[in-house]
Amino acid sequence: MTRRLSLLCLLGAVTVTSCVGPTTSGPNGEMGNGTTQPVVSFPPHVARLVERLDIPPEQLAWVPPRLWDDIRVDPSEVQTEAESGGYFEHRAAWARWLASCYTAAGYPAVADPPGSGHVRYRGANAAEFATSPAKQRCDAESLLRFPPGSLPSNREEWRAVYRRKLDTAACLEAEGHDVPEAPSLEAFIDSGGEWDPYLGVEDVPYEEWNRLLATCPQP
Amino acid sequence: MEQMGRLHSTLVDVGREVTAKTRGSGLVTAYTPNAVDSVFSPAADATARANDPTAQAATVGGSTTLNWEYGKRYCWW
Repeated sequence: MTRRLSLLCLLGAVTVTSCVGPTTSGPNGEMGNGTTQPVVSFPPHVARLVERLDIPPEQLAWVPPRLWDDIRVDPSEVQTEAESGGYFEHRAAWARWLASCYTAAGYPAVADPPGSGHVRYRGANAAEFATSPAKQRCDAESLLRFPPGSLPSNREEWRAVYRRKLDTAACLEAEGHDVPEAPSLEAFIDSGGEWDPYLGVEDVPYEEWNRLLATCPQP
Repeated sequence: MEQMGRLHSTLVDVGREVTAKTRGSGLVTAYTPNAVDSVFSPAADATARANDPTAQAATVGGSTTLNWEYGKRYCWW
């Protein structure tokens, strides 16, 4: 009896420790607590692009260094937001490219809903794919090919973000959903952009959420 | 206060659906055993939802502009 209880406890402990609590990976794949700014270093061919494209190094802190050897992006292949034709167009172009990269790696993925910025894969090996070097390579390369830029650095850039969120809020309200009250532009900037009109609909069923993503793009 | 660019993750269970979510700017991914959702948001919130009614576990992670976090794992029964 005692041995049986011990075995149950051991199994319980293994189960719990494998499922509870965060596991975080920090700069260049090292373990970390996710609360401090990483110091990120890149091989020269990546460092040149990161500097030239003004990509926040933190965006790429999770990339294991060995993956950079397989990633070569010529500057002529880089597509900026201006070249994409705007914020939402840039995100859509990124999603299409990423879906094609996953697919080429053997994991057929789709950009869905189109234009939403979401790339989805379904399959019994989804967890394997999500942590695979193939996905990491595609993700890292996508951020070089479609540089996301920095957070807003002046009032006009913040105003553009704010306006996109106001448009989305109006759209969600027109679709019959409640939206958190919009802060003033000043309060929005002071909070570091904290206001998400999608907060009011994040718990709707999946199908409705997808419909809204296609109708009212999440900014 | 949730600072813009921070990765924030939660799990929700809507009816019989199970969804893993992350929020933060940059590239974020949520996944379950049968579904992966990655989303890119250059300068605002991004919420990834991996829909998998049969899942008993989900993981969220990704890169954001102001912090980094990868591989939180949750289970529920």
